Amino acid sequence: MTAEVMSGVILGQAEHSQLAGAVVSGLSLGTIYALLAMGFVIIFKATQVVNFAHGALATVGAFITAGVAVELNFPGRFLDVHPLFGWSISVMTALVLSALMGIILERIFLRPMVGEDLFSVAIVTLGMNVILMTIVTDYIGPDPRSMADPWGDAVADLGFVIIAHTEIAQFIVAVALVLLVAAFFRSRTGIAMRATAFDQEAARAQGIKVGAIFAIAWAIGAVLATVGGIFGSVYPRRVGVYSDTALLVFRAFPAIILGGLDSVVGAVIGGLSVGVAEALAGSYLNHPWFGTGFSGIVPYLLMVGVLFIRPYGIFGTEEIRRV
Amino acid sequence: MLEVSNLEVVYNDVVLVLRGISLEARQGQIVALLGANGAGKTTTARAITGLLDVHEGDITKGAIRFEGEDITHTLPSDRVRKGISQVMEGRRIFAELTVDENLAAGGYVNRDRSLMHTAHDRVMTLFPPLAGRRSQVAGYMSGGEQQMLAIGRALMQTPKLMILDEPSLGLAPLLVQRIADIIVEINRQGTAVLLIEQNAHMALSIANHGYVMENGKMVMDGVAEKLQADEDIQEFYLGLHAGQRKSFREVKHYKRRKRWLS
Ligand SMILES: Nc1ncnc2c1ncn2[C@@H]1O[C@H](COP(=O)(O)OP(=O)(O)OP(=O)(O)O)[C@@H](O)[C@H]1O
Ligand SMILES: [Mg+2]
Repeated sequence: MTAEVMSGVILGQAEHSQLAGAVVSGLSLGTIYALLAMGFVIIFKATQVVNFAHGALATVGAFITAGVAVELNFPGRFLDVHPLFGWSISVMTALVLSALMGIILERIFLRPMVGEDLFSVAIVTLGMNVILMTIVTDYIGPDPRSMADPWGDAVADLGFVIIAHTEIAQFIVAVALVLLVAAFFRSRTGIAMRATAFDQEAARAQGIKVGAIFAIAWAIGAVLATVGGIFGSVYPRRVGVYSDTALLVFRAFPAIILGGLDSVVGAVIGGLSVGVAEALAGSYLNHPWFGTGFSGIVPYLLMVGVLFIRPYGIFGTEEIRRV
Repeated sequence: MLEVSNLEVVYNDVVLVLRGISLEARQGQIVALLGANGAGKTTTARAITGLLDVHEGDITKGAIRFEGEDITHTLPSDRVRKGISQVMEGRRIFAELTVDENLAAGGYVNRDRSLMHTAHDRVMTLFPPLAGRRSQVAGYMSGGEQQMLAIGRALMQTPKLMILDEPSLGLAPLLVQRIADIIVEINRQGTAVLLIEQNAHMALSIANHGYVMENGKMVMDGVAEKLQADEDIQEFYLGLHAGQRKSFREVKHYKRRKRWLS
């Protein structure tokens, strides 16, 4: 193994640190996992729905973004602005549409299931996943759709490490979103959502409209999934959205479990650590002995390891209360 | 102010739990609703606040009017806005939230910031123990403090009518007295109170009027002093005559303890 590490340094990245490179790409992967996990956990906490359609939300969201930015060419067809500014407007528009999608899906598929057990509701989301993925795969067709982002494959060389422009954007956006979510949970509506998550009946007794809270949770979940989906569909990952974008969420699942199914903080930390672990394994554990794609199972190994020590995840509540 | 007339409530379409009860809460008064376990007191509170649906309960007959308006089938949030607040049985505070966040959740319907501020100040004045714990997670507080928080949370809605469902449950006698004093104070400040209790002694000592429920029916109703003097009440609820009813009371006592533990 040591020999491999050495050869990696000698062969490819003489002046760049292999460790720093792996950490950067791990964090970049990790923020995508974190965004996906955060949305999943918010939906789960607020509405008690284990959303197996979260991957579909990410895929459809990214597809909507491609649709707005490329097919509709909005706002490019009306405005001649800086590409970054124009693309930001496209993304904002797509995020609004994604939020609406989340609200509508909740209203149609999940509201009628309120009061049913966790398992039956999870089955409904599986069905929802199939429906959404069928539709979106049909639309996307065999070739990935470009996000038309303004960065392309441009990179910045920081001397010890090379970082893609998309990754820099991704870090900024992810940090901003985490801060926004944290601020939201301290706002009037955010407190109402946490109250609802803890005890629906008591929340209703305070005059909180639980249905509205569900809608907001799904809107937030869908928006976060879309952002995750977008960054999962640009350089240096698959360039463009395709039906297997949904698989990102399956890979984010260990992050969710690791952090604790019901902890937003856990989702962020779980996402980042899984991303970094995966990238480190990809960079260092490439001895033929491990076979190819070993890094792909590292998140699951990490998950199993953590669950051994803490069955409720790192930040999960010991008992998940139900009313 | 609140009139419940001939109310019938059925759970799961089959279990008839309220069999045509009527009661009235008047402006400026404390009205006590007494009854043994399973009499239907909590069900009455749920019907008044619109929270039956969670329990698969339905109003099949009768009406609830608040300040002259029929609210029998309105949304819970509308009733809170109109001025009906409930302190639920078992406190039901949001244990993972801080004291201030619990109060904020209580004031959810209240969008007026200055009104919220006044309400918050009032809660802090009424409950000094909460004032020192504003950013403490509510679940770690003692039972008495949690009950204060539950009442404070309802006060954030600046209610015209406050329904309290067994606020003395599981509290030591000294604390029960303290809660009683607070209810009197809240009432003095202008909120009508519907006090649901098994502790008839406490309830009747502060109430103007009392109702007694049994198996989903009103079996007695009258001025508090009169009920206090009533022999049956004394025997069933005040524990003044031990005797053949003793075992019944023991069962009741056991259940109360068990719930306190849970
Ligand atoms: N969700 C429900 N489904 C079916 N029956 C119920 C439900 N909730 C309460 N009941 C029944 O309705 C009756 C009245 O219950 P309720 O909780 O209103 O009584 P209570 O007077 O508040 O009693 P306690 O003093 O124990 O709180 C009981 O027989 C109870 O078993
Ligand atoms: Mg009760």
